[in-house]
Amino acid sequence: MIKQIWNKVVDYQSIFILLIVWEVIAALGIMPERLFPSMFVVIGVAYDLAISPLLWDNLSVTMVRVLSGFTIAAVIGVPLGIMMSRFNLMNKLMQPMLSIGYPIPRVALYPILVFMLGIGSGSKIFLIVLECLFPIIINTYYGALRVNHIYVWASQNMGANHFNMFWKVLLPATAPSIFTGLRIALPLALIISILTEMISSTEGMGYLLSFMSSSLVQENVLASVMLIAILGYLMSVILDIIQKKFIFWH
Amino acid sequence: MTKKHAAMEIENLRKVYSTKKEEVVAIKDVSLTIPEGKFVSIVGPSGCGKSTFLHIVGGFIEKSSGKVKVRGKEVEKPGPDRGMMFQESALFPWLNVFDNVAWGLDIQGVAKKERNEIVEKYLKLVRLWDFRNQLPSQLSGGMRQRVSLARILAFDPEVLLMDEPFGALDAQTREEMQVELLRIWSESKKSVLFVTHDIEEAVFLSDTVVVFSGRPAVISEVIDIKFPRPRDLNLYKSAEFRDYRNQIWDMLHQEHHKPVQIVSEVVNG
Amino acid sequence: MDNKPLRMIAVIELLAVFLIWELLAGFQWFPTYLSSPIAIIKSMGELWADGDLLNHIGFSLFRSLMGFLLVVIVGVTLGILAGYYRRVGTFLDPIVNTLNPIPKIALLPILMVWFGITDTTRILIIFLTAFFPCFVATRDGVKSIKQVYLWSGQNMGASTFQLLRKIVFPVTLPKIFDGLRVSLGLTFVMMFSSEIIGAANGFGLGFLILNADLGGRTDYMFAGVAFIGLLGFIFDKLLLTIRSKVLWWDVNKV
Repeated sequence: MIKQIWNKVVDYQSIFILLIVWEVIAALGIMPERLFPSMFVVIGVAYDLAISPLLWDNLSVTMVRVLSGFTIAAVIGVPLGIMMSRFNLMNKLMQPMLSIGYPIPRVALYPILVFMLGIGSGSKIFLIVLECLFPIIINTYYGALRVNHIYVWASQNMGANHFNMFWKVLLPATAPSIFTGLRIALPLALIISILTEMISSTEGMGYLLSFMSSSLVQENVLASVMLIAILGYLMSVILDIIQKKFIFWH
Repeated sequence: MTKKHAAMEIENLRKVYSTKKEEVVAIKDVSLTIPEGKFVSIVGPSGCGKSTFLHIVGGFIEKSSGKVKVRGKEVEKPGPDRGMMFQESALFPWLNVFDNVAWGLDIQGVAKKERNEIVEKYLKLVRLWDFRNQLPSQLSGGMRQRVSLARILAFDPEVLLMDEPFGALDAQTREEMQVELLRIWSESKKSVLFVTHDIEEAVFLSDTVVVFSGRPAVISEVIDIKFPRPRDLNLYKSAEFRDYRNQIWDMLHQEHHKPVQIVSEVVNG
Repeated sequence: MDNKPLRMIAVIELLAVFLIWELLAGFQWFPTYLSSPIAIIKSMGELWADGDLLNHIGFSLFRSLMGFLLVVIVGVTLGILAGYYRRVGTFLDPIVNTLNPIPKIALLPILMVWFGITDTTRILIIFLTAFFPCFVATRDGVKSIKQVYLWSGQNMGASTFQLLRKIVFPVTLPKIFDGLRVSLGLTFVMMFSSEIIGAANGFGLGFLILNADLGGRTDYMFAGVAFIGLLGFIFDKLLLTIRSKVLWWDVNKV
């Protein structure tokens, strides 16, 4: 057990080195304390935040936005991507939109969306859906294109109709690529949620961060960033676990 | 001349892979001497360690113990004294045929004019001068390996090492390449250590065929092939050829049961 | 795939969207804040004639390209070293793995406390965000190099520096470009975000949009958004053009 912990420490030695350097700088007072607080102080502030309703209220708002935007994008994007791979007309209509839309910084639409949908969750969820659609559609499409023709022919040979083909052949065969798309999309949803909340909002983790940073006290800022970092990290860990469980054959 | 060294001398070469649980002996004290100007092949079942053996001689993999000498000089790491040809094309896909052959010469700082002459000479030798501006991806598998051969000959190594260079080619191209190789080899007169799993290829090309037994690799037999040169594909049809082939085939299929160690003149050098 | 018909369809689709938009606005079936394409093009012209537009674009581009340049230099160099030398890799991996899942925009307030609301902060946040795709793609590209390339380089007597410069770098270039394309997209996203959060007076397309927002001029907002979109689009195409020029030998080129 101790050995396992020690191995982890060795694996992550660079993080510990950075932390020690940080603490030394903070302790020696090379930088003003207001700008460069000790990590222990930061952790203290983060803990105070974590046991206050301030965190949980804002966290739940952000999570609702992230998950609903992500889910809507998945429900639209996956069938669209698969249909694009099967129907040429669909592909020809969608490809230009994707290739024009992909390189454009869609976030810039946010101020306009606020005009249309208000400062609440609507504008944020809309932008999350818009951002998440791209990786989901693109990965699903290329994944479905690569599905071995033998599978499709074999299922046709066994009398599968369009419905069966979608649910029982294309969807499972494309699952690893779909998952790749979702894997890219979920962190994106979190980024967009926090970003838009930082630009203009009255609640959410991004708002909390802006609120804390308006004090210009670095330990408040760092504590909020630390909590957001933990949130981002947890989401990626959960995704890894899900991936290992469901895409086992890949 | 004081003492004439053989082209390659390998003494008691041993390779041990250590994992956490155990130590696996991949090559067990193999000694082999390749005389100057000879073509020697190693055959053996796949996974018997013959490629590892060659990679150690090339200096790409570290040996556990033993000695590898090229013309009396002990070698530790890869170097241009041993030209190595790999099974998969190692041509750089971002350079055309000419620049690929010129690469090693540039590295060694050969002057441009001389470099161009050398590249031309060897591309003409492998009959691909007309393809000098093509990319490797535009060539067939056989042509790619001919360029590889030209690239190695261009930097004038002392010996040639070949790791199943025709293993990825189809049967017909393979035979053409074997004839090509013999033609080119007869002009360059460099010693060759050639690894293959194809018995007929080994018999057709070699002066000597060394049979490896599997896990750990030891030499189970050394056979001198006494065909005159130049050789052509008609050799494949001769009765003596089939005798050699069958002899080695039998050896490979019984050596699982009892490895025999027959020492011939070549081993002792 | 043949690109020409797709390009035709793209133009037709765009025109159709603009036409419907214009018609809906013309019949006043749209709320007025949605403006209309012709009004937006007019405002774009006004902004251009005004002279400030070039300043806005210039400052935004300066920030974006400085950040991106840093990414190219630092990201590619560190990526190659981390992929080639295992020790560099094991040192950098935990830092990257820890920082990568974090929404980097959250680091903006930290930088603001340190460096104020300045271009240093903006360039740094662009760099910090866009660094990761480039670094990860480069590192993974180096790690997946075929062993025979390195071996034949060594066989021909190349030094380590020559291996890195003449084999590792060119082989990894396709992957590097893949990463850089993602990085470039993030560059413009962060340019916009860093200009619109913690606003200061000055030039930049983000400020233009913000000021138009505060002044209720949605036509200027649309114009600002259109310019950011155009910049993103043009520089993406530029990168793809450079890519196809540099990687003319790559059989898998997009």
